[in-house]
Amino acid sequence: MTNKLLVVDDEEGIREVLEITLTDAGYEVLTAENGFSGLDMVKTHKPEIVLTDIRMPGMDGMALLKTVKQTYPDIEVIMITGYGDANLAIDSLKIGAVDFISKPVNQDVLEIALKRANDRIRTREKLADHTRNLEILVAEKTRKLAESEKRYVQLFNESPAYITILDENLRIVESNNRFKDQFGDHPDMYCFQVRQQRKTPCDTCPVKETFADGHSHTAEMDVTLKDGRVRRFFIQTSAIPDDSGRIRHVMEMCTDITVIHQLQDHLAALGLHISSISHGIKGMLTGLDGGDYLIRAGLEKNDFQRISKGWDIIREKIAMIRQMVLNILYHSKDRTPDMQPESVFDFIQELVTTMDPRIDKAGIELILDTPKPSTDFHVIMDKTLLFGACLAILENAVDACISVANDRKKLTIHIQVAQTPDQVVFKIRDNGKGLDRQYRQKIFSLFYSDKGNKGTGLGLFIARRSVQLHQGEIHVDSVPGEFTEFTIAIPKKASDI
Amino acid sequence: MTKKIMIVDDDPAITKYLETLFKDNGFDTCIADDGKQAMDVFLDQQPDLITLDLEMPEEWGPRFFRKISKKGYTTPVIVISGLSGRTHSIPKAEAFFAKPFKADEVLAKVKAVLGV
Repeated sequence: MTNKLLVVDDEEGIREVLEITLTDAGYEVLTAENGFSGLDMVKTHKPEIVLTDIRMPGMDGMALLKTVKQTYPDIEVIMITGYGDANLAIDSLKIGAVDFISKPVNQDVLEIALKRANDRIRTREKLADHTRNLEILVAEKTRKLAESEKRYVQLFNESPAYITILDENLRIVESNNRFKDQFGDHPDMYCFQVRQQRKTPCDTCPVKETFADGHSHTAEMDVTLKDGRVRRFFIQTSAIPDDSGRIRHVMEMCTDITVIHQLQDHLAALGLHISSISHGIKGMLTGLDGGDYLIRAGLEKNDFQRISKGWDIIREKIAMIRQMVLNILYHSKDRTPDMQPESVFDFIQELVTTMDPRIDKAGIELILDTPKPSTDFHVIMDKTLLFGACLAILENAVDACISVANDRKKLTIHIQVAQTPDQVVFKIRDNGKGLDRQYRQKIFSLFYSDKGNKGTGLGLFIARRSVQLHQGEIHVDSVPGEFTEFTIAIPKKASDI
Repeated sequence: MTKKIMIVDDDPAITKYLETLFKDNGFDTCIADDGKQAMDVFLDQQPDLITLDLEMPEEWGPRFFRKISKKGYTTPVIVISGLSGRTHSIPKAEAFFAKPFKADEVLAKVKAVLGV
């Protein structure tokens, strides 16, 4: 690499000698005869090294040195001193000269001074490079750090879980966007206030446990979202210690497991369903075996009464199987109600006509307190659904009456239909065996029946579901040994549904 | 002397089946359609063997069995039930048949228990 070098000396001879020597040494040499023109050359050509005589008329070497170092601190200045300039030479070093050489200029001394100047220039360049690289490195790291921070904030906010950071008082100090979306942004509120809408902490609190032992804990809880919906959450905690190891905060991560819970319920119901069906089918198969036995034995003995009895049993069991299959099919399918205006009079007539043979056979008196053609009105309903519900209740009423037929002088079933401004209310009351409290509580449960082999436990469960599909209510009142009364209330107007 | 079998089951089709089966094979029978009524029938008829269903309305089979055992009766019991895997509910039962049962097997067991 060729260095640009400026020689400043008022003695032309010295300038020429140095120019020749330094050009031979590979420098691009500039010359000036005094400080002022030297300074002009510096400004114009920016040499890397200035070789200047100390003593010159006008602006001397010291003044040039000062000015150059002030303006161009990276230019290295070597002083050329004469006899008796020792103190000045030392002073020049103090104000930034890299070295000094004395006249007459010795070639070796000059080379050493130039080497020192060049070394200093290279060192400075390396330092500048290093500083530049360091700055690039710092800028790169800063950018990555900012990106990483942004990424972590994004991960925190968009995590598919509800995350909160809680302090020892169970106060929410931070929460992610998902949590804020569903529960609202409540800085400094307590977790139990926001999620459980309680005034005091929950009895079981995994956060408190984590504060106590530092370990992760889990819990399942029902929580209330800001729109009022209740969801089931699985909660997991982890401790966030500070540098001293003390747990200052606990992170709580919640997952909505409502769907899993519903699935568990469905699976449990399915298990119960299969077990109940299998039990019912076993009884029906045994009955069919019995019917088959009676028919075969009747044919062998030519006993028509046996054949007839056997056939009755087979028909009864076939009817039970048909009902069970229909109920199972109904239970397994989701059905959207087909809401149409229906005449209450026609509805009751059809219901009574369907049940009449059984009611008659059992010797039950049917009392109707329902609209006549003159007082008839229409109700928006899914007739098939509501008819099925009323039929299931009526069948229960008939069974309840039959079970006490020997103890009652008079068996009655009372059907009443009344209307309020908003609702139509159906009541079916029998004076049969009644229901005890325990059974009343479970009567609408799936597969619960007090009729042993005769009941599937589906009828009233489906009745309740049908009424619920009408946005209606169903409940039962009873005194054991006296009466049972079912009430179905459904909204009157289609707009209410 | 003709042996008497008491049939306890809430399903009339099944009691009719067992009644006919036992009568056709030379046994006397009496019937109760739930555990509660069974005690009256039992005391009245003093049967030599009982076929007993487990799950019935009002009172279930094992409770009836406990009641007669407490009174000191040792009448042999054969359980005929749709509840499979409930053999432990009456450990002293002579046999446990799951519904639907095989008539020949029930008859063979009845005869073996009664020694006819």
